[in-house]
Amino acid sequence: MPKLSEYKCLNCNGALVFDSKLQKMKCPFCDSSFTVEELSAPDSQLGAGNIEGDSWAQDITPNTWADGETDGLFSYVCRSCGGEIIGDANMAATSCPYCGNPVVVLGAFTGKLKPDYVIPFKLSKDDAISALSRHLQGKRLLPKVFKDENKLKEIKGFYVPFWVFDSELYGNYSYKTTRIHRWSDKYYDYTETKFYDVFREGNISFRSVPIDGSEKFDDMLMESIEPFDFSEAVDFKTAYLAGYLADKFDVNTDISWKRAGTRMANTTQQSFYDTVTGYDSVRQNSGECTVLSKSAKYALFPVWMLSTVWKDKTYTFAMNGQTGKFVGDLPVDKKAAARWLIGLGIGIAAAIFLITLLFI
Amino acid sequence: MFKKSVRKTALILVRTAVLSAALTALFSIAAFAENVEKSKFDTGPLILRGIVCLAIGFFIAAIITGTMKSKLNTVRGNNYASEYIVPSSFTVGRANEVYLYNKVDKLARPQAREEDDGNG
Repeated sequence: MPKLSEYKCLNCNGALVFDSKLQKMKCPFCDSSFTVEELSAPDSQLGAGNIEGDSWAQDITPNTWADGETDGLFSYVCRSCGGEIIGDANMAATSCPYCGNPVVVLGAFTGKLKPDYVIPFKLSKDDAISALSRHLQGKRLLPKVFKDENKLKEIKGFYVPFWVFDSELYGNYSYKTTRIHRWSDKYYDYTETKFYDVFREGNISFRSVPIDGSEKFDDMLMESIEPFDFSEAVDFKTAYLAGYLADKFDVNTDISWKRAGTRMANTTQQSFYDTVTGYDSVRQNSGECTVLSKSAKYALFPVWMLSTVWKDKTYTFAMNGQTGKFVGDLPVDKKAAARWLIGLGIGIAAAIFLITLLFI
Repeated sequence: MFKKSVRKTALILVRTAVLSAALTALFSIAAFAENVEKSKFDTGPLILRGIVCLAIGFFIAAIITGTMKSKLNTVRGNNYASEYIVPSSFTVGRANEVYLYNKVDKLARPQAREEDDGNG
């Protein structure tokens, strides 16, 4: 059976969770708090590559499962209540569905799977719920009943696996530009256009470009809640995961690097373009962007995931657990949109009509 | 209690001001209409003016409504990494321009016609 880790209060043996406000492990029963360093004992086994007696749990093969149905599923036993916890191969932290105790699957972080850094949660579940309320305010085309009728289906704090890239790039670009000069005499208006070739060459460095390393999380959703402040990242310790959910990565660095490389190349191109000033027109003629160096780190970043249900449709929201940036698409009230369009259109048309009658 | 009554009073004052402004505008329009050129109110030009104003009005309304709609969609990918540039790391080693050629276009200016002296 794989090793699960639960963090127990040193005073009352209750299950500890990481408190985002205190930035410490807190016991919800006796209110005691402990630093992460005081509870790092299980982490000493992570670097060894294998925990003694650890192996991935056997596949579940009860008689009632069809062939292939249990592929990729693993079972664990909760140390507190003995309940069976089912998870997929990527599950790294969860809570027992029977007793609610937070558990960490130590096997998910052994050897090369051990994250380099983690950004601890700074904002709590209540902050996420408040952010959702603020997100719904001031939206004139949001159906009024959405605020009342939508039910918060679930809210979960996730440590999402990210690949974080550092890189230095070399850029070499050329542009076609023009300068225009106009003047007139008694008989003619003159326009002189001068044509130039402009060259720019140089280096640019990027640090901590995050790319979502899990297929479970929508890449666009994760990019929407950026940026993360990597200066607040700390060395990884499993204690930070207590009370939250976590997965290990299932997208490797090569695939993630493609996305990071594209974003860095686009920014490099834009940065050089912005230096071409003092012309009336600028058009990029050619360019190349070369990677001089790159490195990757594996980190866990905090994200609050919320979902609500309205008219049988699920709406997913995400909040950056560090900065509080909140995103999520909302439904459009088409009738309200039509009313606004017609009302505004007629109102503006009437105002323009009156003004033209009076002054033209 | 006091705040509520102040708010109510303010609302009444605002409504009165808006109604007065609307009535004043109507009277001004009526007075102006007395002196305006009658040809302005011929049916043909009036309808054309109305259609053009409606088109402009709905165009502006579509832009405003589109902006309100876009506020409901906040999930957007990020194709750049500008927040992650290392400060002072962007160095331009080579920056030069090469002049190629120029082109001059000239456009004749409309000249005022000199009045001919009549000979006959």
